[in-house]
Amino acid sequence: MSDDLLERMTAAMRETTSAPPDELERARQRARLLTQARKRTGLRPQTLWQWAAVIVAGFFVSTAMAHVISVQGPRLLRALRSEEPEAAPAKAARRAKASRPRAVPADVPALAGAADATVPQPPAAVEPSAVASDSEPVVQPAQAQPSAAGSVVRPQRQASARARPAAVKPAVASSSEPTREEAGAPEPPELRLFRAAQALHVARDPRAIAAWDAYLQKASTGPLVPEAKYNRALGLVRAQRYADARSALAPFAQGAFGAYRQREALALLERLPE
Amino acid sequence: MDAAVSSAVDGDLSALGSLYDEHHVAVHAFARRLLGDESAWDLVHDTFLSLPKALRRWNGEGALRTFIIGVAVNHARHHVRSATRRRRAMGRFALEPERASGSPECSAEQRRLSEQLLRALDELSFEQRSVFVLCEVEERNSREVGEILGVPEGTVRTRLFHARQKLRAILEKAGVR
Repeated sequence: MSDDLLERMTAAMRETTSAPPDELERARQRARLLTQARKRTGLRPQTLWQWAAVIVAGFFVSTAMAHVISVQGPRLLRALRSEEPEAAPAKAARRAKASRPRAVPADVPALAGAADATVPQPPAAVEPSAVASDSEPVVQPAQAQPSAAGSVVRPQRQASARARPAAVKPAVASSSEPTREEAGAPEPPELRLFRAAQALHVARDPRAIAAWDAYLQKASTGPLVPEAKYNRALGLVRAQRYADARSALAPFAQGAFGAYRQREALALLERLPE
Repeated sequence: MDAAVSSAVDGDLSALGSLYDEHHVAVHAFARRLLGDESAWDLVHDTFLSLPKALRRWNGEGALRTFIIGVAVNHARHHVRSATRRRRAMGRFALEPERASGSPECSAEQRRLSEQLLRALDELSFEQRSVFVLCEVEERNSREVGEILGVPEGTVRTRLFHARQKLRAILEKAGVR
């Protein structure tokens, strides 16, 4: 075996492999390379960051949407399901808000000396019987509050209709009748508690305080909570538990719930005996 | 640094296409010499596919083609193994395909010698094989080969010496004349 043979073999390999590749094959391989490279470029770190940004943005948007839907969804559902457009909670709230100055003093006419002319003037002294007068549950705070369920508003409207038929439409369903929402979906337990407490409150049952406590224990937050607290305070006034009533009304008077029932709470606190 | 290089690093496919057009012939020739015809395009493909990432560590010193050949060498290791296995299997069953090698002027004798050398190279280690191909077949100097392989020139010369010795022994044993 000579070096000459190895050199000849090397030269032969050099020559046989030095020719440029076939043009067609070259083009095919180039296309294959660029296709693969395009796929690979789609997973570059920069692109991954972009995808991550899109995912994070999507998460925030969906969270915000979920929040909006959870807040506004019940209203929208009610508005969509309701046959009467007037039942839309926003309108109801506006209507209640508009009627509140006249209706609110009627809630505790015996205590609120600051009631306006539409409300029968209460006796000068605070009397439990006066607190429990028939005209008391004219308009409950549920009408002023954005309610999570329209069914809660209905008995109040009924009561309100008794007091002021011209102001509010008479309700069709009584509190015991199932509404469309009830028939469609199971009622949340806290809403059931609210309904029960509301029924006792309207009926001036002393057990209403315990019922409101049960509701507030179950639902510490929510759109109906201020109303429940105010009604509980009224129940305490009726039960002549004035010290408890004072502490219950104080947050309303101090504006802890904004302007909601603030004026009425102030009036009540002025009139409550020591 | 070349604009095409920096664009390719940024993922510009047209820049990668330009680099391919400019250097694929050299890479393909090297791949054919190192692996044989069957696996050559696979190595070219892998080399250029990984080139944008590999170019990030290129400091601009030396020739770009040298760097690309270095990338090809890094990818060639497992291709060599599979190509060797395939050649041995084909040899056992006498199914070695007719090589569509090169230009028409390549004589049958040249092709025979080239194939015999390729079979003999299968017996070498990858390091010896790549040094032999780069130094002897591609006629690169030891400094350039050291740059491609990332080893000192002395190592290149040593590997080349042992590769020649081993090839002579293999060819002698095979009775090649």
